[in-house]
Amino acid sequence: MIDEKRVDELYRRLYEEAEASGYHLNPDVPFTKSLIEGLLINEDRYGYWACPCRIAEGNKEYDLDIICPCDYRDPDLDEYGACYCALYVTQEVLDGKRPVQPVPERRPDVPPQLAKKAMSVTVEEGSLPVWRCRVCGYLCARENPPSVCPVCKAKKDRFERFAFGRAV
Amino acid sequence: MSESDTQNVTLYALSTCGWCKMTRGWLDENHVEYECIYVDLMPKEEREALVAQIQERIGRRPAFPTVFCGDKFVVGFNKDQLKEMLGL
Repeated sequence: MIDEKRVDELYRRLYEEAEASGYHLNPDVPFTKSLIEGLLINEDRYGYWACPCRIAEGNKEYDLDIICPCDYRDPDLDEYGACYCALYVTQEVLDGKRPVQPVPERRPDVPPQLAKKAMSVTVEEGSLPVWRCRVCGYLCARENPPSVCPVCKAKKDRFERFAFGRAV
Repeated sequence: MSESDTQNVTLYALSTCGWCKMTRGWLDENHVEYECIYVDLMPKEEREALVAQIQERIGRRPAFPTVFCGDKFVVGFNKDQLKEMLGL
């Protein structure tokens, strides 16, 4: 059993960090706090925040991609409006325009950090597109630009595709 | 008579998972008798053996909650699929 004060403290910290970087915690506070309690249980068990809704191996290298925030948070937010455990949701969910529903698991059976071909991932032409925030120059390689720039808070529509040092 | 009256229902869950908690609540609300197994609370060797067993039954690395009813199973808290499987 985790001390309620510890849960509240981490809830506040994650809430502030999320809001400051263009993300949002699930507005269902009791549900969100139960997930945060799960994160703290996993911190005590394994030494890191393994996703509360996934089975952890207890081996950091194996679990690396599911340490919260997991590698799958952003694509799940884009596609389903929530991350796998639903700790994070989109503005659309926050505004009540979209319900939170269970998210299918997109983690491959063999975690990417253990798959041989992924041992040295580089962002090359033909892999993930690179997006540039036209306001502050922040660059990120992902399927779609983030809904809000984590650095300057500019909206998604201020991002442009970026390649070879020039906008495309 | 529902499927759960004649078949054993087992919920494989994680004690830390919000969706697993919701699944438990939903099964209770629907008066389904089931056994709940918290996979993350099991000792390492037993857990690994069980995960391998579930993986063999569902054909992929297990995700939680997974509810079995006889030979059938539902992965994730999908109420429609659970209702259909349990004959509710």
